[in-house]
Amino acid sequence: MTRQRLSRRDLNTLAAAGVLGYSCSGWLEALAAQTAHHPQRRRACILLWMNGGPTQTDTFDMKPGHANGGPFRPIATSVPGIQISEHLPRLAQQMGDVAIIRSITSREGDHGRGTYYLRTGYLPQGPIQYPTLGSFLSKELGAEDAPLPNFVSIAPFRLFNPAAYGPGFLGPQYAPLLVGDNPNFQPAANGNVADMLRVQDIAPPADVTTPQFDHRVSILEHMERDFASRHPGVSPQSHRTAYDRAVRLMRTAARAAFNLDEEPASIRDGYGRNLFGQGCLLARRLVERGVAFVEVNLGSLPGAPAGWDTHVQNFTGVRTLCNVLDPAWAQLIVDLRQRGLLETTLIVWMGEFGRTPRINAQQGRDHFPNAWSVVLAGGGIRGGRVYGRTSADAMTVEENPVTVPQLMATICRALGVDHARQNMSNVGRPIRLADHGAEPIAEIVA
Amino acid sequence: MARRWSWAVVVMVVPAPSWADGPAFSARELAQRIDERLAAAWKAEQIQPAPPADDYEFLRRVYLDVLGRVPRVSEIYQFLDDPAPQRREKLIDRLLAHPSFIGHWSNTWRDIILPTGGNQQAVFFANNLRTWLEQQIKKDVPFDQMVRNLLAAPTTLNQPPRGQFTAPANQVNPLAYLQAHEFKAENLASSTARVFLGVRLECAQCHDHPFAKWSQTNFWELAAFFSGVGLQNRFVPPNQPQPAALKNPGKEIKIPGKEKIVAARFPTGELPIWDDAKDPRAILAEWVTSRNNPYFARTAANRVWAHCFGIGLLDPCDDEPTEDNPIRHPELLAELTQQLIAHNFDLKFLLRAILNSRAYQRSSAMTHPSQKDLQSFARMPIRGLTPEQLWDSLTTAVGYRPAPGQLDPRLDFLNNQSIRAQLLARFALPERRTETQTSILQALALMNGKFISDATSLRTGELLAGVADFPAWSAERKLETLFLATVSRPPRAEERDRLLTYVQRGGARGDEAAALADVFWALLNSSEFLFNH
Repeated sequence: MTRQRLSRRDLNTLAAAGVLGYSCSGWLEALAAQTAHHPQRRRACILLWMNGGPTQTDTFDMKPGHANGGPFRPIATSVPGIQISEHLPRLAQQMGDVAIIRSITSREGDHGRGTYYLRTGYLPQGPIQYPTLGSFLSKELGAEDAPLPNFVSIAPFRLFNPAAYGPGFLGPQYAPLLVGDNPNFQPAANGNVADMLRVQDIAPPADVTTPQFDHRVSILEHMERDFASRHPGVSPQSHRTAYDRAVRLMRTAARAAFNLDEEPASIRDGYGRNLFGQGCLLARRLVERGVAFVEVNLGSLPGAPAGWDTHVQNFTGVRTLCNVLDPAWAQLIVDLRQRGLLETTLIVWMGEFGRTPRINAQQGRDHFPNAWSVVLAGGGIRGGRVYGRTSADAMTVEENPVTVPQLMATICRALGVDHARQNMSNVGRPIRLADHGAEPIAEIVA
Repeated sequence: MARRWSWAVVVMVVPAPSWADGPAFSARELAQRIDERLAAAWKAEQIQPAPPADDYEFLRRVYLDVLGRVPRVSEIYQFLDDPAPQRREKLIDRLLAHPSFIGHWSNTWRDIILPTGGNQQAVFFANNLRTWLEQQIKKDVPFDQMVRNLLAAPTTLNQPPRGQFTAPANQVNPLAYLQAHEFKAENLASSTARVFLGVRLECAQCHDHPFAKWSQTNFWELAAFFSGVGLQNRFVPPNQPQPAALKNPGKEIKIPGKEKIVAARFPTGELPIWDDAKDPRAILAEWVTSRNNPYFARTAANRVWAHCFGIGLLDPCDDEPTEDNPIRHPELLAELTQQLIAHNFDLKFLLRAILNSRAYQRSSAMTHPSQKDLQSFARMPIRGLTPEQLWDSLTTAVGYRPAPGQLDPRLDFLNNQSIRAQLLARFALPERRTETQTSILQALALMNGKFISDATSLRTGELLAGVADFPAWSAERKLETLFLATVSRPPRAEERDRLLTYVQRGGARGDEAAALADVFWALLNSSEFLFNH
């Protein structure tokens, strides 16, 4: 009821929202009204975030026979003519649902800026707080009355640029539910992975019984109704919404999604018994229960302490990372397909930039934003395709360069979201989901 | 946009700053004039103002705005024991002289001068700056002087004296401001313009401003004053691009990626008069803080207003008015500006005047649809708490004390495992305090997190256990105390009857003390506790 009142009241605001230089007063109200008009969720997105900037030359854009190619060998995949790294053998079998973009190009070779660019679609620019793609996509795809939060972030590594992980001008309502949060630089311990993937503070303390908690909530509800009736406005309303959703999350059976012990041991083994593997399993369980956007981070591992930031000993590191990445990703595709969810679930594999084709003196590869790869799989994607081409030495894009805003537009299109949709920003300027002028890559979206 | 104005044109159309020389009013007089001006506007716009806040509502608000926390139960009783006439004015004087005001006012200006966006490194610099701000505020340094001290701080402050190898330990200086901006001229220029002049020049850094009057040249002319900072600073990391060599650092700058060298010039178009005894930044700082600079005092006055109401007469505080977003009650802001200048940039004077106005002491409850527009100031807007207000209010309400031997968590800001850091990590500073949003994680942390769980446990909750066990008190008195400790008012009759029944029946567990804990939990999680209203 409140929501409808808001919508009517804000129609004027919305009409004015398209005007440049429009006042920022009430932008959150304008957002609330937009949300109220949303169609129901259609698709879901899983982002596999490769922290540190994954090498393209040793994964999806092999250069056998060239000095830049390194020691890894390409292998055939289930799609004739497409080859990927020998360290991704299980994924190779799923290539029919996978599209590789080999021609991403940007100028951001700094972790902080690159992370921001790839995760928001915009360069950091003065006071505008751009939302991360999980926030703006879950706003488009999620349902307000869903039992689980619309955006879940698993084991994020935020140090490179915390702002690239937040809801920005969309506000805390679109902040992710964090699990396996790892604010410090600590390689994930393999032992207690299932416990790490539980939601913090999801249950009352042990000495509070369930009936007692229910009583507490009803006392609180009474106070909130009372307060909101005297003090209508965005803030108390947002408080109420968040508490409603938090209590719903505590009470819903869907909360069992976080209980990975429900899965058979063979499935759990299939994903790999590590934080990333079990995170992908959790992502599948969340998507099954209607969560719109889940991101899983793969970075620092025992044997690859710097994650994908392989300035030193690139080949040892990448092999270790691929051994974790390959089974989890492949199993995720297989599982989603088996459950009939692959058609409606887009899987995005990317990091903040690629790595230099030239191998440095420490057997490492450095930051390289000029020409690198991003992989899209599943829903909305024409699989079994490669888009774009780099030169024989991998140093330049030779065909169909793809910019980051174009990539964002493509992700939007694959999810059935209009990439030109605008949100009101904190500086009172409407901001498109994908930056002005960017169009989806028609060749790879279904 | 074909036509571009220069700042000079704009300043010329602003009335000549003769108003800066008007009479200086007392705080009480200014409070009255605030109310007269608002009353006139309401009459013209047919707005019905909300009734005055009752003593409880006022008391809670003024504690949050001046000391940064809710009042203690004893402080509520103390206030009510004062004779009614003028007890509000006396309280305002008492709070403005309270040591906690210095802390809260330092936090407030730290957040304005160096917003961090939750970035850990920025938090580190911001807290260094806060130490310096606290010292300035403690010494009652006038605001214009403080800004001059900040903008013109010699970069040698952290360097060892001649003949020594280490800088003196525990130096308190404002260099964190330069550090936070990486000693970069362009960052310092945009911050100076935003924070102290209420002008957003950032976009003009890379290109002419798409929808305002600033050109790229305006921006770099201002940045030129800071071009010496990077050269003076010896600690530019070797992997960072070194600042371009300039013949006259601080007087000119090279626009990156272009061959053009731009000479320093005030955004009004005037050329600085150089004085070789002074750092160019000192000359800029004098211009910025000049009584004749119409932007500086207005921006400061508007920020003090926004501190008291959650929203400025011009909103946001760091942007210029436009046709679509004009200054509301412009004559009021002009008067506040003039009084700030007449009182030699004494922000505390302005604060005292506003706090004493009936406008500030109006209820936040909406009693008429005409009060919907927050900038009519016909009722007090509801505002989110800053993370520090939240923590200080929580600890006050629950009687929290750090365990013996434990560092006071307020001083322990670098420890991200402290109970304070863990709770506050969930609560960033809201960008707009009148539109604070709550996240699911915040709700979970407040409902089930360790801090609230401890506070609402009969074993560990200091205040709760004390109240619940107090043998001489009736259940009604206990209930009232929990209300006063959290929402700073006694329960209304309907609430009292309903909750007393609940408590006396022992709630879900048939135990009166446990039922009191339930009420306390609900109070701590309520909007009424978690917002300033």
